[in-house]
Amino acid sequence: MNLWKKFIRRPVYSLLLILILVFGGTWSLMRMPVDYFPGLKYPLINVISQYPGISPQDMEILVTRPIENKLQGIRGIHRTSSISSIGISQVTVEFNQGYSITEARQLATAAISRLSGQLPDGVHPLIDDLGGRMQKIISFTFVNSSLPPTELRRFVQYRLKPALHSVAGISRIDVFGGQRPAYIVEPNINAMRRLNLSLEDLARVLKENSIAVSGRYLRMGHLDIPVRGNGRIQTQDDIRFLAVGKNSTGLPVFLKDIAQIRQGGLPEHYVVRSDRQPAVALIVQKEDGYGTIKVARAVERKLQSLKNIMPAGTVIRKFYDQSEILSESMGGVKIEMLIGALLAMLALFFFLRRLTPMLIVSLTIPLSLFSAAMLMYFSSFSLNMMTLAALTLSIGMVVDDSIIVMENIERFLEQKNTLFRSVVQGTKQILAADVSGTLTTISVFIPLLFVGGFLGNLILPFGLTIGYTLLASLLISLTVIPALMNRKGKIKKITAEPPAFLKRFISLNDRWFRFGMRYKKSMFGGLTLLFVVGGVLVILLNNIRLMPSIDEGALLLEYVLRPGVSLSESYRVAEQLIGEIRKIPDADNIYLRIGSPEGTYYIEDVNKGELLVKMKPGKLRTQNIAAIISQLKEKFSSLEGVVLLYHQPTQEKIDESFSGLPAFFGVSVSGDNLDTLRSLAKRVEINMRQSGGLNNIINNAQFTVPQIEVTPKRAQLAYYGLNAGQLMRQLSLAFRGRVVARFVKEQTPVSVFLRLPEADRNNIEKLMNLPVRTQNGSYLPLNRLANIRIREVSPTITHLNGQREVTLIAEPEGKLWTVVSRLKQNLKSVMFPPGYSYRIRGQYQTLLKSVRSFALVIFAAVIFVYLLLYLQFNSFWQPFVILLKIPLDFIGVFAALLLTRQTLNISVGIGLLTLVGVSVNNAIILIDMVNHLRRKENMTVEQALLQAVHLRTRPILMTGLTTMLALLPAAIGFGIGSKIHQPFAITLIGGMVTGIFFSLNVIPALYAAFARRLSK
Amino acid sequence: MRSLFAIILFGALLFSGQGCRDKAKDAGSFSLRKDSVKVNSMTLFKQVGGYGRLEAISAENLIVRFNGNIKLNGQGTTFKKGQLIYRLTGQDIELQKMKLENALSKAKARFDYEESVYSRKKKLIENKVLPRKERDKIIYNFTAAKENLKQAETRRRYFLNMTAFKAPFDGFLSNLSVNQGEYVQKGRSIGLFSSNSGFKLIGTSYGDTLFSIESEPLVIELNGVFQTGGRIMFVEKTINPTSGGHTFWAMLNSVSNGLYSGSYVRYALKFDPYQAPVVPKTALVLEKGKFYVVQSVGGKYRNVAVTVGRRVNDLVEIKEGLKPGAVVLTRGAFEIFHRNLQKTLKLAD
Repeated sequence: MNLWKKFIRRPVYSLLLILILVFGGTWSLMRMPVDYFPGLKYPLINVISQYPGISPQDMEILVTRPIENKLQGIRGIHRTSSISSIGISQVTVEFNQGYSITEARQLATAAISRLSGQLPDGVHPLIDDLGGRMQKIISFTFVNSSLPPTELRRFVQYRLKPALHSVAGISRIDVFGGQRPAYIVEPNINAMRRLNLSLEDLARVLKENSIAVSGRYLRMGHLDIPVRGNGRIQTQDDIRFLAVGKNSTGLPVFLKDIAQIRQGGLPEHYVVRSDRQPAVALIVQKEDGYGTIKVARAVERKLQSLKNIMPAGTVIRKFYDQSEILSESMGGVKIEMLIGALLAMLALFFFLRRLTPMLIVSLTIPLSLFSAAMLMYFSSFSLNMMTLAALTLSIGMVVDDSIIVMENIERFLEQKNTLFRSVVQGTKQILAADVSGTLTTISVFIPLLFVGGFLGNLILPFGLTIGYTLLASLLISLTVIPALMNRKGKIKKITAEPPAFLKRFISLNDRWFRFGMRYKKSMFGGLTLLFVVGGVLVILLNNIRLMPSIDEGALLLEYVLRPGVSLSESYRVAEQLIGEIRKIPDADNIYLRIGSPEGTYYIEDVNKGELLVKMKPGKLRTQNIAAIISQLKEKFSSLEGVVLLYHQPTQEKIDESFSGLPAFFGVSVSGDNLDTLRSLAKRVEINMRQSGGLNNIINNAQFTVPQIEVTPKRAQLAYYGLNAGQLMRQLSLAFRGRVVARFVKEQTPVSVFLRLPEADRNNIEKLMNLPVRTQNGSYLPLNRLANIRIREVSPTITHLNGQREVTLIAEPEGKLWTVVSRLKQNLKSVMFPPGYSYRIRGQYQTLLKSVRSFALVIFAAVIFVYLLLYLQFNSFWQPFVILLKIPLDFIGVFAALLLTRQTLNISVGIGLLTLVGVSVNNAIILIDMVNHLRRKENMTVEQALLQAVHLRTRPILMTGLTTMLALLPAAIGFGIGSKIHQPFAITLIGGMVTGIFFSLNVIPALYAAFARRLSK
Repeated sequence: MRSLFAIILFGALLFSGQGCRDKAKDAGSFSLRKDSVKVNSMTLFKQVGGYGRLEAISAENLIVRFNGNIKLNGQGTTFKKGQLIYRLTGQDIELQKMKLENALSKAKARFDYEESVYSRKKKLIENKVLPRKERDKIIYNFTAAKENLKQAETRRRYFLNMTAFKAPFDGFLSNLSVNQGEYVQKGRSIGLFSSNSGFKLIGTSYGDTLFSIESEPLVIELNGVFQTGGRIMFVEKTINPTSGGHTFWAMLNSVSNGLYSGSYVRYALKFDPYQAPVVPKTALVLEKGKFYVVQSVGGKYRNVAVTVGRRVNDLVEIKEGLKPGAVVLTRGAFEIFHRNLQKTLKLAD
């Protein structure tokens, strides 16, 4: 206490503290990385592998199972799941809580590295974590119509990409599109037959004729000169003049005589376009811990510096830039913070009518923010939309503590005490209320520490940031504010007379006070009804989604066709969609990707395409994104055979980050045989429809795709001296093709790719008649050596914990437990063969668990708050009265949400949580005064209540109005980022409007009712 | 003041909610482009296909008889009977030619002399005025000179023939393995000259179909491009153990340039023409192992199951399910067929 008194007496200490906070806070703000969202650190890993053209069944056997088996051996695994589709495998591993994402990655990487040799040639698994998608911050396309696609790709991949890697903070750069350079060798079947050659022979010739050797050293004079044998293929002529056999006259036959050799690109099964022009895309992913804006700007500067080496005519188009959204959001946030602070100061001046106390209290705002910045930095937070929102929204709340301390000091001054005594006694008297009020507000965020999973990652920084600012404001209100109030000879004479408007308010409030005291039961009944009706209406009438959506200035339109569709058909649809989107005046660039390029994290088949439409800059735009989306939905509403999904790019990345997690509710049927699983799924689907309570039941297993299956006739093969491997290799080389040699030309790897010409493999008859060379030199058509048939197979094979499964997804309605038990009863009638079973599962279980544990923790927090209040008031029923204010304030929230038709999302949830903490403060300071008046002045309950209301009206109004006015800019919205703050602000403002009124009328009535019954 | 403040706050709340109520401007409706065609009839053939080898009825291996430099006739690879295909040149040849020319000149000169002697003394020989011995000598010398000249001409002609090869029949040159001006040795084969008026196709077929069309006129298609007439001459009854099928020989009426004796070809033997409705292959939609088309009837679309048959380039025969004159979608058929996709395909959102 002496130390504290010393601190108050000597201004140098408070000056020192202010300087430490200012400099420390500034330093922390400059060092903190700026990101869009908090890093998602949920320990979930996706292992993505590509093997183009391979069927889902082969993908499952050759790639998915080996990877799954290795990963399942890792300790700490909660669940594994996988999807095997045409050419793509994704294995998802979810670790137990308690594992960090870094640990999870390390364990997964170590497991994958032990797979070497077990995966087919050319398969290189990539490891992606949940937050990785969000780190893809800036993307470009490169278009050059005068350059061959191989040249453009070569330039971007081997010149630009290495140069960009020198920029600090970049973890990965993906380049795709264009073509990877290759010499394409397409032999003539008939010419090969004449020379009794097979494709394997040609492959061998090509491979063996590209070799470099060393002859060690040759001593010549004083020199040791290395001898280099460079037999590598370097040019097209080197390939053309490879001898493949001899003709009847004994002369060599060259490859050029029996094959077409041309310069081209390796075959790809995806499309990348920029405004319908072939393009090469470049996607930059930054490292966690580096600021988005900093890295994006550095990349743009680097590209600018490389413009002089770019081929003439190259057009660079930026189709995604997260930093633009961030900059614009931050601009809006700064305006909101500034205006909010000014309005709060204005409100203070309105009440205090003096500049100096207003300025002293207003100092709390920057000091609290700087303090919070320091704590955020040391907690390894970044400045992102959530933490910035927390800082913005706490501006109005941080002055509360300082207001009540200052107000109490002034009350002592009004009683003609000395300055120092007023400061000390005023602060001491309000200390308990101040501390318990702040701790109560902060304690509501404690449950967030126990919210696990991705939700915890998202909202914990928000809650902790608010906690930091409030803790800082408490400290400042008990140190700096009293010290600054203790300025000798500078305080004007304080009048005890309140301002006129306050007197009028008090007079009006007295009427409501008396009404409430007289008609307690009616009032309580009416309020209860309002609470229930309001709550029900909000849930029924307002939309619900997890994240608030903001206008990013870009639209992501995903289209989906029936699985199995060809790439050309998919592109045909995409072209037409682009044509329509081009008609939107605000559309700037349009980027298209269909399918999944090799070596990237994409896993979509060609039936899915992604159109990213970047709009013109905000000032040049005529509509916002929501309106454009609405317009497109209407335009495409009658589009048949195409499913369209509308997102915004960053929003979609957040949603995509959660991919790998199961659907909300589903029934999984597991077993070995896919056909049996499909038929069981059909029966389960029927039962699900019959059991009721389940909407939109979807059975994706019903979709099959045709697959041509070639199975060897082993007896026939043996007769002709062939085995299945030889037959399959000939088939693979003829139709799939293979890179048979590689060399480096001008620092660029070039492949030699061997395959039959398109004309010899473009229909099933050609396949059936494919000449297969036998051991005795004759050629037989493939259909003599193998059965060829078209089968319908699943386009994807999914596993859960290593077992095949099919999941039927549904949307439950009504009471979940009733639906589940009825479904279980119905499913008893489905006969599951041995080895087959079903399970009802889904995210709903995790969410329900989270909700249960969250509810438990909320309950614990309420108990904790109750205990805090009990310790303060030493009463069983008074904390209960205080806590009853919470549902009362919710009435205002419901009204505000209904009035503004605000979507219910995570921001609203956090707003409600914050309101729980804030709303009890007014009740605390009121009841504290009532108890003081009853104890010290011997007043009756009614007298003490009325007097306390009169005395506490000013601080209650001041804290309430400053908070509301500080939140007003956020409620109105000054930028694209405000969509995240707006729901929170509206929730708090709505709650505080009624909170002020109920604090001064309903709480006294409740107090009186309880006091009468419990005689205390 | 209080009222004003309340109005401002209320208005701000209302205004802030406007973001939730974005209205779309009038958008119009869009649907994918659709094309349709009328189903036509087309003449199709039953067909048997596979791989085989061409052989010319007449073919001559061009083997040089003398050392020398090849001078090809640069007019192309097709020659009429008697046209020069190549000539051999070189020092040896010129020398030999000169020798033969000299010998011929000498023989001619001698012949001329002996003929003039014979002509002058012909009456005396016929009237037996001259002594017998002189008579016999004049006749012998004349006869010998004549024979000598003939021999010299023959040797020269033979030499020229052997050093300048002319087409023995209408045909074309293939398998050329020399370059213009290249030195070749005696006995080397420089190419193949095949008759273009007679080719046979030797192939393997599987099944018994060819037995029923032996000797019937056929349309024979080679490599999917060239079509000609022909007929099957013979089909081996026994199965060839090497190929596993029946070897057959078919006679072709003609062959295109680019194909030559020894070429391997992909053949299609077409017979028994018939009329059948055909649709472009883009009209067909494969779903769960069955083919469908999307038929346009009175502005509405319906999915019709069809049975498909042969393919001819980009057209496909319809065996069942559709008649000529029906209108089917081509472009857009796939999407219209799956027009209920939105209700049946669930996606992560």
